[in-house]
Order: sequence, then C-alpha cells, then structure tokens
Amino acid sequence: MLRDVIAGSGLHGFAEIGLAIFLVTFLVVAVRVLSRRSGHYDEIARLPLRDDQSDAPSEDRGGEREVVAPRSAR
Amino acid sequence: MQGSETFRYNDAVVRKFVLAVLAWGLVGMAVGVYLALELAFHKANLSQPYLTFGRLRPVHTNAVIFAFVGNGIFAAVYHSSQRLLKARIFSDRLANLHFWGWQLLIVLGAVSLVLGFTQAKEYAELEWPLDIVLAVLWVMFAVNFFGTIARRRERHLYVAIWFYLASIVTVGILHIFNSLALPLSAMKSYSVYAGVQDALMQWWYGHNAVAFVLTTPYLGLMYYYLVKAAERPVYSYRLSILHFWTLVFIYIWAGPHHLHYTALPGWASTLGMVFSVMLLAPSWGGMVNGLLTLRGAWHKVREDPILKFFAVGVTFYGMATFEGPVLAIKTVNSLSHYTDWTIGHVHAGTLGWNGFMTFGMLYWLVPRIWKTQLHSRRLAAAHFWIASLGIVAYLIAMWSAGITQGLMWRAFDQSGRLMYPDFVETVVKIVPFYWLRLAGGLLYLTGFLIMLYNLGRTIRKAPKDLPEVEVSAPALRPWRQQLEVAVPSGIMPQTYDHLLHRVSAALRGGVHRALEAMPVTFSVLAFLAIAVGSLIEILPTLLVRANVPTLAAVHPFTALELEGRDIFVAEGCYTCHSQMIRPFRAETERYGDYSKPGESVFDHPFQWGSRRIGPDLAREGGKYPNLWQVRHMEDPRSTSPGSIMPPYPWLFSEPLGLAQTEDKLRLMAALGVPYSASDVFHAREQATQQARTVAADVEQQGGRAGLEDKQVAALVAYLQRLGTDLSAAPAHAVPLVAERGGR
Repeated sequence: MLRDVIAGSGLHGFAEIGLAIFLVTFLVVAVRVLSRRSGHYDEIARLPLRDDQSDAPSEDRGGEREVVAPRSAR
Repeated sequence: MQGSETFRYNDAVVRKFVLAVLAWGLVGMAVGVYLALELAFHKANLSQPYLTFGRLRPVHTNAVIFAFVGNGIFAAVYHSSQRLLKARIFSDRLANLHFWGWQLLIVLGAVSLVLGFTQAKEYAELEWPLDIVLAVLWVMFAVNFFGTIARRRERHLYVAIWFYLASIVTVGILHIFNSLALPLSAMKSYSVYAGVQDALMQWWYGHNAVAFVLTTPYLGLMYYYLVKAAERPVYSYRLSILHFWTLVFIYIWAGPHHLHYTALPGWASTLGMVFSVMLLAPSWGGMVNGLLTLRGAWHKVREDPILKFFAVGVTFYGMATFEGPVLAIKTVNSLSHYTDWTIGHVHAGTLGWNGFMTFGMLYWLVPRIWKTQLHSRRLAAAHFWIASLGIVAYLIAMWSAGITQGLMWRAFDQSGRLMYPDFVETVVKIVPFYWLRLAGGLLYLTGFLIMLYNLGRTIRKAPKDLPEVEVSAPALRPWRQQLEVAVPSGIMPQTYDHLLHRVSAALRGGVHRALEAMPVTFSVLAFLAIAVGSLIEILPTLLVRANVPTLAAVHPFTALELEGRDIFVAEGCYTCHSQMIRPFRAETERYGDYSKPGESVFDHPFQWGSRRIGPDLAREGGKYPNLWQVRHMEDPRSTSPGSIMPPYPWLFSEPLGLAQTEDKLRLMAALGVPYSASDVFHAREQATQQARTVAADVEQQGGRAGLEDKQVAALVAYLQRLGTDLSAAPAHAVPLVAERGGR
C-alpha cells in the first residue's frame, strides 16, 4: 500500500528538490556569514580561552575559588 | 559582581572516561595488531573459534570506534562543554550511569562478538539487545548534553558545541534505522532490510558512522583543545560556520560510494560519488582552519609534543579527506574497492586523525584534571615520533598491497586470459606487505604503551584529594527578557513597533548568532540538514519496486542453506569474502556472471562484503565438489596451497542444531521471503534430509563420514547454493522480470 502510494507520487523530482534546498541553505549561510565584519565573531571565537584560570595545570593557583571574568556587554 | 552565580565543574566523570580511553585503546589496538599477525601468519589463528580473524575483526573495529574513540568523545564533550557553556553537567547521576553502562556494553559486545553473535553489518555488528542498550545510553548522553545547554550561562554556542550537537542527533538516527531487525531469540535477529536495500542502509550508516563518530565530534574536539593548547583563537570563526553547515549537509549523501559498480542503482552510486568529491571543500575548510590556528605558534609546535600531535593529526585529517573523495571516484574505486587500499585509507584517518587528536587531548587534559604536571614531555615526544613512524609504515604497506592486488586482479595476458587466474597468487604476493603492516601497528602500539606509562606516572603524582573547582559566572538572562531590554522605553508593548524592535534586537548579530542562542531551533535545522539527504537517497530504493527488479529464477534458501548462512554470518566470513561480482571483464572471467540486484532480495542481512582477503563467493555454488569444500574448511592449504585462511575444525565437531529452523523460516516469511506454510512445517525434516545428502556425497567421494549432523554440512550446502539460481534456471527465464511495480 505504502509502496504504491510512494510509487505513484512522482518521486522523480525528489533529487532536484533536494539539490535546491541544499544550494539555497548553503547560499544563505555563506552570504550571511561572509557579509559580517571580520571582527564580528572575535568574542565568540575567544570563548574557549576565557576559562584559562580554572584550567592551569600546576597546583600553585592561589586558592580553590576562581572567578571567570564577566562577559563584556553586548 | 552583579547576578553572578557560583558553580562547580564535574571533572570526576571526565577522569573516568579518560581512564576508559586508555584501557580500551590498549585493548582495541592490541587486538588490531593480533589481527595483522593473523593475516601475515595464519597459524596465529590457533584453530580456535574465539581467535579466528572473522570473529576478532569486528571486536577490533568496534573496540577502536566505540570504546577508544567513543570514550574519547565522551571525555571531550563532558569536559569542554561544561566550560564552554559555563555550567555543570546537567545530571551527575546520569553521567555516571552513562559511563558504567557504556563500559558494560563494550564488555558484553566484545564477548558476544567473539562467541559469534553478530548482525553481520560492519561497525553495527552488535545483536539486538545490545543495540537497545546502546540506544538507551545514547539517549542518556543526549539528555545530559541538552540539559547542560539548557542550564548554560553563556548565551552563544561555541562551534565545538554545534559539532557535538550534530553528532549526537545524527548518530542516534543512524543507529536506530540501520539496526532495525526482527529478533529470533535472545541473541539472534535478522535485518528487516534485504539485499540492495540493506546494503544502501548499511553504507548510509557505515559512512556516516565515519562522519559523525570519527569526524564531527573530533572537529569539535579540535576547535576546543587545539585552541586551548595553542592559546589563540581559531583562525577564522566564519570559516568554521561555513565548514560546519556544508560538512553536515554533504556528508550524509556520500554513503553509496561504498557500493560503486555493485547491484546498487546507478543513480544512487553517482549521487554518492558527486557528493563525496564535494566533501573535499568543507573538509579542507576544517583542516585549513585548524592548521592556520597555529599561525604564529609554530615555534611552540617545535617544543610542545601536544601541539605536534594536533598539527600532525589535523594534517592526517586533510590527507584522509583528500584520499576519500579520490577513492570515491568510480574509476579509481574500480581498482581500489575490495583491496587493502581502503584499509589503509581508514587507518590514515583513525591512527592519524582520531589517534593523534586523542593523544594530544589526553596529554593536555590529564595533568589539568588531575591537578598535576605531565610526568615527562620527552616521553610524550618519543610517543609522537614512534607513532608517526608506525603510521607511515602502515600506510606504505597498505597502499602497496592494495594497488598490487587491484592491478593483479585485473591483469590480462597477451592471449586475453587472466594473468593470475588463481586468487591465491594475488594473496601470496601481498603477504610481505602484511608483515610490514604488522611492524607499523606494533610501533603505534609501542607509542601507546609509552603514553600509558607516562600518563600513569602523571596520575600517580596527583594529589589524593581532588576538590571540584569552583567557578563563577554571571547568570544568563532569559532570551525573551534580554530582547525586552533592547526595546527602547516608551514603546507600548503588544504593538507592531514593539515587535519590530524585538526582531531587530534578535537579528542584531546576524541570523546565525541568533540561531546559536536557540539550541532547539539549531538542532532541528541540523536534523533537517541530515534528514533531507538521507530520505532522498534511501526512500526511493526502499519504496520503489522498479529499483530492485525481482528475478523469477531466484528462490529462497532451503532450510539447511539458511542454517548454513547463519554459520557463515556467525564466523564472520564476510570480513574476508565478498558476494558481489562487479560488471568488469576481469571479474566475470574470474568469478562468473556479474551480480544482479534481484539475486540478493532474500538476503537478510545482505552479504556483499567490502573486502576480498579471499576470493568473491557470489557464484561459489557448484564450482567445486562438496568434498573440496569440506577439505577446504578442515585445512585450507590442502586445497589452496598458500592460502592464509584459518582452518575451521570446530565445524566438524559442533552439532548442527535445527531446533530453531522452523522459527527462522517463519521469521523470514514475516520479513517477506516467500516461504509457504508447508515449507515452515517441513523445515526440519527437509534440512535433515539435505544434510544427509551432502554428507553421503562427501563420504562417497572419499571424505570423512558422519557429517550429516555437523555444522559443516549446512555451511557446504549454503556455499554450494550461492549464485546458482540463474544458471540453474532455463535460459529463457533468466532475463524475465517477474514483477515490475512503480516507475
């Protein structure tokens, strides 16, 4: 039953639709990303580097309590 | 600090996962080295069922993928996402359950594979109860991850988080759909798909297991740990966005490149090829981004073994993702497929990329989460150099072996006949390369042992008491509230003006930044990206009958052949023997007529295989007498001098159990194999009768007596049936298509 429904539902356009979805998504993402200023993402790109204090390997980090610097206001 | 919250990271569970990576890495790699020895030196199989190549090979692949890399992913995700999201793991209890459950699953999986319980689908061999456990554990992991995201104190999701997120969603889908099977008993099931459909589903899974287990989580790992080790932000964040979406979207289509020139419909195969070539762009985007992050830090690479591992790991990622698209091109694939070149390619990725990225992460992470210093940087550097040498030896061996095999299989002499008609000639030629591969593997394992020692000493130095680090960060204002603040005062709420201000505030940083702040929307989009590719590729083959024409001459296996098939599956014969003759003259000359899609419609699961360590078996039926098959199982060298196949003495002593035969036929009938009620009713009787005939024939030809109730009788019956349906049928009946539905 399901097979017959699908067989009769004109799947020949399937691949083209997929290609179109793919291209449109890609173009939207590409245009949005590339039209931003290059410094736009700097803050996010530095995210992993912000918790340095708590990750220092040596034990001589005065005290247990570490404080992460507040995020700069957006 | 106003609105600041204090919390602690849960590093205890990260430490557990790190220890698991070390333990399972050792097991997985040691088994790999042992398998390499078995191929170079067949006596290492020791005539023991539990140590034969066919049963151990899935133990190696599953151990390195799900135990070594799997635990590596969990360690990285639990450690880095807490820090990137500024939140403790959602549930400590769930994380612990996830940890112990996963280790239990690995142990049960290894034991069951060695015992011969397998679904025979590469990297998805685990039987159905274990598949369910895996799915439950994965859901636990997902709940914990999404829960942590929900409790985060950092608005934006860093790129590593997106890679983890896409991996978690996709692996769940892949696992569930590929593992769909009807259970026969507690440890035996049959795939709901058969033949072409099963092959397509399996390699959709298989390729995406490479993508979403071995690649995307490790890219996430790269974007965090490489950045931390280099102490500088990623080269281009914009490139990481582009690279993420393109990779996720394209990867999912590439699976069919594992099935070029097989009985898969041509359009699916071409689609897989085109997308595989396109995949080069995002893959290299990631590689370039990783390597350029080290810009201005190359002097550190010279001194720091951690950065050495990362730099070479990323380089291997670039190399493997260049080689992959090349191998996916049909003409190249016609040479490389079924050869050791594929094995070399996989190991460039796993040893070079996954191995080195894991090692880099461990050397960086262990001293930090154990609050101590690395025992020895010199030993870490020694590990790096020894492992690098090991990879080079391994790759040279496999490239040479693969290309030699490929060329020898297709070589014709001047009279137009196969230059090496005897398959074993092409095996003997590559055995020296197998020794070199073993040497490479041993070097890599030696490096791993050095790391174990080094990290063991490091952990021993750690303070007994490891208190949780207390951190504080500003609380996150709910998204709506933040938008509300952005609206200038004086504007009436619930007006269009108000709404427009909110929309403009939401989009101030660009659509993608707004998207990142909404993980649910983000997950749905990532899910859509992979679902579109999957559905377009798989649905037509599953549902349109015309894609898999049925052949009138092809009949279901007899009851005994079905039993023999289960032995073939349990012993992992498919790890060395394909059952898929491609439409090349070199193959049809050697093996017989090429395989048709309609020939495997009753194969639950499909047995096309992916590798020819031994010859193809698609038309094995009738090639040799029963006695030859029996002697070959007893001592392969007695019939094929130079063969590297292990002997199977237990098939001559293990009784042929027929207790489940009727149930098996009934289950097959439920899956759509046309067995009648009478077939089911008489199954055991017919099986006994056929086994007697096979045994009598062997005895009559001068072989040993009394095989009618032994496993070997069923296996021989199965082998003698393979590919005979078309030749047994009247000539005019062969090209007829019995049923043609759909378009």
